[in-house]
Amino acid sequence: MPNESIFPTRRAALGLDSQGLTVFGGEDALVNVEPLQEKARAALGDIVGGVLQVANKALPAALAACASVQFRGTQGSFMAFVTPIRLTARFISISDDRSDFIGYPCERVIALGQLAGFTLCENATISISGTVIEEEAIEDLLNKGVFIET
Amino acid sequence: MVNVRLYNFDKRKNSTKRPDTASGGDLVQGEVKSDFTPLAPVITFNMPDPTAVPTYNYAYIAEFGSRCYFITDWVFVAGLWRATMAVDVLATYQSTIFASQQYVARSKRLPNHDIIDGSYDTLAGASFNTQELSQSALWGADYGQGCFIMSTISYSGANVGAVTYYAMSWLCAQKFFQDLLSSPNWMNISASEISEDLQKALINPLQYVVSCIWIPARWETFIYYNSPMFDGDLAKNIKLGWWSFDLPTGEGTGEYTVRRLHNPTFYSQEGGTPDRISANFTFTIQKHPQAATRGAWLNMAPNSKYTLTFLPFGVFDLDTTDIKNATFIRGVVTMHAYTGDATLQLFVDNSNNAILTVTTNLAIPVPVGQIAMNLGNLDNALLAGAAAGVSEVASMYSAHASAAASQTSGRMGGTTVSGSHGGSHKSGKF
Repeated sequence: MPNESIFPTRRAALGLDSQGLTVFGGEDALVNVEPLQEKARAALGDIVGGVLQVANKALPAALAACASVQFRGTQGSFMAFVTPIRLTARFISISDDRSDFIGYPCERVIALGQLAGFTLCENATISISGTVIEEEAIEDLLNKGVFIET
Repeated sequence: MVNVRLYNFDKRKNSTKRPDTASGGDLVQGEVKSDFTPLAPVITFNMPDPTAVPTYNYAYIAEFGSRCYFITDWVFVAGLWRATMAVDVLATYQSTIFASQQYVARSKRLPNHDIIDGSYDTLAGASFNTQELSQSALWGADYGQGCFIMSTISYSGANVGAVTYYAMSWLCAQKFFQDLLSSPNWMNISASEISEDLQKALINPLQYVVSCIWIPARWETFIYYNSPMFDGDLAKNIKLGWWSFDLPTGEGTGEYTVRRLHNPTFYSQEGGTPDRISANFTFTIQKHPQAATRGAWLNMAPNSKYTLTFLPFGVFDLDTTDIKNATFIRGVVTMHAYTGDATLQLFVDNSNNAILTVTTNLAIPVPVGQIAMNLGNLDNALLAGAAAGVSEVASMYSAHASAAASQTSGRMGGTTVSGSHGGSHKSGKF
């Protein structure tokens, strides 16, 4: 059974440590080898843990590198809602009243005796016991506008 | 000789006015020329005072067919006064005219004020009257009091397909997104299984948010309708995909006052329709200032113009024919809570006939983000991540070896390590 203190020394003589790493100044390492082994094991543990830890970080880092943010919806405006609801009325006035002289729109068929004041007929026809000249004169006057008075 | 009643009579030439032909005026005898026409007779009078010009302007002669005449002129000839007359047909045939039926276009006595009178000129300039109603008054909420309607893809309780709708206030929505995105702990995934960072990279809860809109209505509008199918007045959680985001503070705290919308469960206070909100408003129809005395036609275009501004529905010129006789207009807005799609209808007074119907979307879409993966780049990204990891390991090992060497340097003459473990750098694709 090889001396435990020699085996590492030989590895050191070959320039290798227990992890297969090259060791310089190996002859000097003959002294006090066991603490070195423990430290090497501890280092190995740290490295394995580090690899796992970094690998654990690599995946999200990679995923994050692949990710892009997409938006759904748009930035709306509230302006429509701060504008009050309005009903605006605009009025344009007309010239002075002269209904005494021109009357109002009527557009009805009616006996003239029921009316008063200015009356304008349209296509008036009348039958009287007078002459045709008088009849035409009456129709002409009715179509131009008359004042119904008694 | 002919008996003539002479009058001082005031009348317009186109009037049917007629004097008292039975007893009025002065009955005077006159003499007609041998040749005359009853339509325009010329009669000579022997006046008591021939030096005075007669003032008579009207005559009635029963013997000439009971005709009335205008006296158009007086001429003094050889000590006598000669009157030139013209028949007044309107007075002569007054009774016949009064009895006749005619189509009357215009009348002082019998106006139709609904007919536009084009006989008058319009005056330059205009007067305005504006009534306003704030939208916050309409909805009972200004834009800070409106609510968010968020829809999520979830595993249960969906309203439409796989989508569930929630209503929450502005502050509640802020708190929700803050708590949702500050930590993945609410998903209850053990960090020993998937680290928190990896959870954040892999799972974006917003990907389950289908839509998020703001509508101008209070979240309280959606009131609970008793049903054993659902959680109660306030939602106790929001379903997000596989997960459930608990709303722990819940009722009465002012936080997480969320209500889940569902047709059979919630209805609006106004309309009673489960998924719709309605609001009403009225405006008094101001009348044209001259309409009362000059006619209602002035309440119509072009003398009156009514413009309703209701954003975002738009600006509308109302048809004055529809509202001429109206006292008020009544607007009814109905909004679908899920989407914000809304309809505005205008009615006149209490009529059910809409004079205007327009649709728009009242909702304001709120941006919601999600993480999208481009897996085509994953291999290169993994390489970059691995390289960074190897580099980190190397630096860790180097630091560790340096520490060890420093402890043994007195006896070993110093030990240095070069290169990376394994002695080679691996390259290529994983």
